[in-house]
Amino acid sequence: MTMTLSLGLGAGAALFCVGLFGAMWRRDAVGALASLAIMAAGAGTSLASLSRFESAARTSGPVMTVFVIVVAAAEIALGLALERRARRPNRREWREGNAV
Amino acid sequence: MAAAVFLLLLDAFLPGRSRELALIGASVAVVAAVLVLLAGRGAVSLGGARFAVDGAAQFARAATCALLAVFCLWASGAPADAKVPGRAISLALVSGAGALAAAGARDWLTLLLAVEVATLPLVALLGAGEGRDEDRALLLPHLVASGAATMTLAYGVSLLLTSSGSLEISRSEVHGAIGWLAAALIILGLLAKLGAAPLDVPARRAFATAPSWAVAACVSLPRIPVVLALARAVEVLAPQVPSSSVALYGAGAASMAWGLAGAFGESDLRGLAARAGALNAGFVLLALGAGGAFGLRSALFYAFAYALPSLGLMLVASEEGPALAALAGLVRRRRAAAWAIVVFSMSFVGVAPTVGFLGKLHVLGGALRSGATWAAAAGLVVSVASAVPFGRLVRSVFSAEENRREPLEGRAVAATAAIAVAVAATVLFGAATGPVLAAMGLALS
Repeated sequence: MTMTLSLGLGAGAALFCVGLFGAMWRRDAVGALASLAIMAAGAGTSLASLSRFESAARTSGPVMTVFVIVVAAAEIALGLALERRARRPNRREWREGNAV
Repeated sequence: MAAAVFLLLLDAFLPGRSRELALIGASVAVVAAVLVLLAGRGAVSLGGARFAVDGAAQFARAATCALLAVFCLWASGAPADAKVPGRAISLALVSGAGALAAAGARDWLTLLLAVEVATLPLVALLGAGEGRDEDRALLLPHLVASGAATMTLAYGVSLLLTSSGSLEISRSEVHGAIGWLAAALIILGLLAKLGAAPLDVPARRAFATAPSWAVAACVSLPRIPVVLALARAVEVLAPQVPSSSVALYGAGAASMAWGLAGAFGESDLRGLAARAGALNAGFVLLALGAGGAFGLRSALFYAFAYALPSLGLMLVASEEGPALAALAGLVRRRRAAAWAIVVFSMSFVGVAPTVGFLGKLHVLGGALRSGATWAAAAGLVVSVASAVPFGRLVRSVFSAEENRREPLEGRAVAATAAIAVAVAATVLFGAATGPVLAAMGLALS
């Protein structure tokens, strides 16, 4: 199959819509955060396709893709940190539970 | 940003010195405000990112620095049970640095990154208090909503690049359906960052268990630069999209109605702050619907008129408790704090002589000037109806039943000074109408 700009933009749109749906409807933290990554992948796919087929976006496309991925990674890292902190057992209860 | 890193290191090596760190933060913010006002206007390129400082950017930057200084000053004198940790001051400074960058961003990539730096630390700030670990799970929907807004903005920019071939904001061109979709996604992403309806719902849940001082920072610090970014996006993109003015007025009226409907049932000031955010976003859209320089000026001034009393009100709530029941009979315990709440509430409703009155006058005047009488009428009705939730707050403060509590321990004069500055600015900017309008016209020319 030949890669075309329309195909790249279509794949980007599909990924973005799937990610947006997941971000709105998923109730579990990991699922919702993964949806953000899928949205970022949608934007990244569109930008990468543009840089491949449009001379005006040859430099700006990949640079922006990298930054979008970095931003998504920062969001997901903070989300996972909050989730981990929320699930951490209460320190006092933990100490009392483990006291000999 | 350097000051934020420095404070983070100081907090690690000198724990328990949060008051001193807050005082350093306030000093840094004041110096930054003075530098912003003294620095000339022009374009700067920093590490490939393009910034341009014009009158609007200068106003947004100076106002953000002033709000940051008030927040840090209050933190340096906060009572013992509302102590702000050093890492929270550091996060507020990082957010302030992002806000300053967002105000001057001239290309979409810089704008995207700056808005993210201005808003992401505030999610961490909401969880920086001494609350229960389980409550931090409530921050996740807010974080996901904020992340989805950023990704919507990024996807909109990628589509705009298809349409115009340039990342420079002023050179953005909207062609065909893809261009219209790109413009809509960019404006939606920035609106979501402002907490427009219905995204005030996850914000309200996140605010419900967060300390009031963290809510104070969230609703005030990034507000003015994000409104400026939205105004710039609308200024460039909206004229190229058919019927954009009607869409802006319609979305504004819907956000105002949503925010107001939610505010009626609130009995907690943190929830009211989230609802007021949606209400404010509606008024900003009304201002931008007028278009041109007048629309940008009124949106920017209204953002300031909202951020200032929001900060002041939430700082008082940090000391006395955010629930309306906790504020019952406050006038007998702390007369000055009670009158401060009255002034902030008047500003929210838009009663003269407060900054909120002048802000709403600008917005509704712009809607009338552009011929959208129905939008002006909707704004007026919402303003009058907003007297109900804020009137309930004032009634609680002056109620005969008193919520008896111990005197505040460890509260220093800096906290009083910070709230006094917020009250004085709320009244002065509203009372000195002529000089303020003249200065605004000069600054934003």
